[in-house]
Amino acid sequence: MRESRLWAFHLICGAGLLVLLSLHMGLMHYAGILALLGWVREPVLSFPSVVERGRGAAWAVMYVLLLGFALYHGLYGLRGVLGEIWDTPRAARFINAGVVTFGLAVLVYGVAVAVQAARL
Amino acid sequence: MVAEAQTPVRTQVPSRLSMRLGLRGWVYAGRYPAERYLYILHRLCGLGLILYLPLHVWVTGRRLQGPEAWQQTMAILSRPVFVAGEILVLAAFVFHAINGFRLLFGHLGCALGRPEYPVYPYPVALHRQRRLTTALMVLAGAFLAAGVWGLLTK
Repeated sequence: MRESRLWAFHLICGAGLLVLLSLHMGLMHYAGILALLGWVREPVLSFPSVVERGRGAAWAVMYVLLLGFALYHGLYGLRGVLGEIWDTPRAARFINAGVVTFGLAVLVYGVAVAVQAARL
Repeated sequence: MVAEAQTPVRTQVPSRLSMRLGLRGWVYAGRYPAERYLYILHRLCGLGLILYLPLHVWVTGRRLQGPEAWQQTMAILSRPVFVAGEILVLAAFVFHAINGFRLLFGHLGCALGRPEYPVYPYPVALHRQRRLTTALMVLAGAFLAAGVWGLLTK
């Protein structure tokens, strides 16, 4: 039951990522096409653009959600792969502790960056 | 009637370790269909993306150090080796997202056809989804081409 819930959340995060990461990648990697269409005026990676995006509450919420979804989805997948390679109960405990610690550390750093960027 | 001498049949149970393919099992799909290779590629792209994510979060945090630090980081990231890495990340994302959409679609039972009686030749759900798979891979190629063009012309 616990594993099926974790798996279901993995799929939900995947669906969320499909939307949020497409928006993020669309803006960052298809900026040339967006500029041709007149939707983007200045370079998306210039310091003023980056700071301006960081100040918006909607952007900050989107980035935090994106980071949370990406970390859960990615680390759940990594846990599955590592669990196939080292499939002992002791290794499973070690892998679980490792991915949770790593995920929380990156999440805390990412949220701190988003919060501080909103104050710039 | 001549009684035939019967030799006892010995079955060898392979050990747990001998059944493992190791890394070979990651890249070689044998006689499995193309979807098995998509699965392998999906995993490799996923692993690449999760390894890249902490680095990306650290890079985005550089803006907190001020405009000089940001410009310096962007100057480093505009070197050809990092641009090539960016193209790899884009390719991994485009493939992983579109193949993930196909998998999600399959989990929801879409494009797999109605269940049928198992009459030979047995219907295979993957074959029914093959046209969708091909269309999605073409779409992934188009997105990747557009993205690479966007990256190289920005």
